[in-house]
Amino acid sequence: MSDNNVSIKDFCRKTGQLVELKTEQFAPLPPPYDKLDLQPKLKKLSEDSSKKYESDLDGVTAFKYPRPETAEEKEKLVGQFLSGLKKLFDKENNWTFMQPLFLTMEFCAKCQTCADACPIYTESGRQDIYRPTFRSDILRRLYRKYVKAGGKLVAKLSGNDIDASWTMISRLMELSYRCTVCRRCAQTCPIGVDNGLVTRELRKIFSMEMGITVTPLHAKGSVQQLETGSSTGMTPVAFLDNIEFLEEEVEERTGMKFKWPMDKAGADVLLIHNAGEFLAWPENPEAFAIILEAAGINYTLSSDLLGYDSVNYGVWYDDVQFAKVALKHAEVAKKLGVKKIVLGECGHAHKALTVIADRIFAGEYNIPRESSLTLLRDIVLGGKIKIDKTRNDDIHTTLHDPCNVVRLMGIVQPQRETLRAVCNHFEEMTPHGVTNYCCGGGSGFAITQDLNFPEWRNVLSGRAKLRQILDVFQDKIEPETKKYVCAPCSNCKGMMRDMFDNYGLFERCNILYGGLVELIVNAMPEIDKPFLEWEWH
Amino acid sequence: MALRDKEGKDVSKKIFIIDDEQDPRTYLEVLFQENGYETATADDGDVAWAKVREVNPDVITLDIIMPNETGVKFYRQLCKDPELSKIPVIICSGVTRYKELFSRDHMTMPKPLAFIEKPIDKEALLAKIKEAVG
Repeated sequence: MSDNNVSIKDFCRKTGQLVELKTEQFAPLPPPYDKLDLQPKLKKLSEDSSKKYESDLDGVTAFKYPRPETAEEKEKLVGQFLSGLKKLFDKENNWTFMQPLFLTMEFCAKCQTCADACPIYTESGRQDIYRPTFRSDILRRLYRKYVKAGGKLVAKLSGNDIDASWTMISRLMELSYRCTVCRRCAQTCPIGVDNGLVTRELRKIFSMEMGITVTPLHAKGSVQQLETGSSTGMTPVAFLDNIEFLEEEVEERTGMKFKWPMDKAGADVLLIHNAGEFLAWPENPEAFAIILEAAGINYTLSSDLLGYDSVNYGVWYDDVQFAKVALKHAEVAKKLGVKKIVLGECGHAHKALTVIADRIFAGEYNIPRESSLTLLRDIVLGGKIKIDKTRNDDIHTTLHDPCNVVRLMGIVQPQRETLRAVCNHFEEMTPHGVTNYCCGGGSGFAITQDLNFPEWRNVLSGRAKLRQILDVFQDKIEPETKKYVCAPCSNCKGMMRDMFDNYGLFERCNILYGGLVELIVNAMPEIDKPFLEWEWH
Repeated sequence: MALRDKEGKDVSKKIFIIDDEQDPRTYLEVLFQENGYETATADDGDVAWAKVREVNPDVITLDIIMPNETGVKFYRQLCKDPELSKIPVIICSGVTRYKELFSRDHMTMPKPLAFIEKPIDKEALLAKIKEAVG
């Protein structure tokens, strides 16, 4: 065990658990969570799990990877890792991000500006292993030694020599899952080094070369999505049954006749939601439907395989999985003959289909793609639906900026303009916009539920966001005031659900989370009853 | 073996197992029968709906993802029927995210008695069955 200062040498050689985390070392939280006993605790792995699974980084495991038993197994894994490492710098094999990765390897000035930008590093009480450059420095040394010509000799002479061992690689594997790829570090770097990308490219080695993946992302994520149609496991038949059920439910709740347009060939817009919305927060796709119908938008949903699930977890760990899913989405749109695809409130789906897909879509597959946030802004501010913002007067709102939509894509103002048009009580968090903090669930953290990872995530990776939420509502933190964190992203909502539950945020402070469209519909005077049911958490 | 009261009358409780896969269906049949329950089975939601009155079960275990008609549709139909809606339902599904749909506070349908994830924890399931049939 050691304190916060861990050297790369220790990381590579020292045996046993490298760092022991202590909640009392983490950055303090505002009231009412300034008292440690109100904060949820980190969970220690059982002795059995510690023995069984690789967890020598910080006693936490996301991969739940069984410890190899023999020297031969370890040697084989090291060989696979080095083979994957070389492929990251080969343009035949890395057709997505080789250039920015190469630049990141070559040009870090080690100014550590990025360290202060990283919420996991700063909130942890500055644990060295979580510093954005720590991970990158290890990869850089490996790149110089094992990929560059004459690297082994140069490494020896430079004094920065590290050997690829399973001890180091297994820690690096887990370390690739202690960063949410929020890319605050990349944004703040004065010379454009992208340490967030290093996380993602590392995960690629483990998945694409070594077959080591996090189950909820891969087997129960991308693979399940390609097999059944959705990462949730919802088949097309199940989706249609669900739709029928939800249509009835809306009618029962609001008295409105309600039907989703389905598989309408030649519609202007194919709207794709994260399928998790139809299970966990159906009010969100329902609210979309109410708004789009009232605004007279010619749109459709799809019940085709993958057409009803915008999820693309490959953006977090694997180029092939990413491409397979993105192409399916394009095929669905092409088959329907729609003019464009609009993405519902799901951040990583925005990143996948609008930004990264540009690297693989060509010709007829390159169908225009748009964020729903800009469409909603045009509808609300363009006067296409009636709004009575006083209907939201009993709620105080703040806005969470999903990293993939805001920092990555620069969609900053549309959702704010919409919120101001439908709510009188809206306050910004500090910081916000492109300098926002991640919800803590980015890059697959929100869906990772195994062993002690959820506790680590709720206590540490979401800590900066929790502080922002508590700070913005601090003058009305008592439960008498209804407070709403507008989080237009499925993944962020998943994270908030878990974190809010763990901290008892609803019971203690009357703070809820939800999407943007729910607030819009709540302000529509045509709807008899309030659409937002406060106890829906 | 059927349970009988003092007069020799069959007092076994009947469980209707609805699952499209043979393996879990057989597993549940054996498990329930070994614990003194009678069983009936159906391999899809539409098949189950066609015979639920005839089976007249005391409790239902219901899979969600099935080829023709899902457990969601079957459950909705059941809830709408004044008589059948009294039958306790335990959802047994490997698609764990459906738990979210069925545990929403403001769901308009009554909540099922339980949601048991596959692979099934037999002790937890039997405890729920006991709770359902008294």
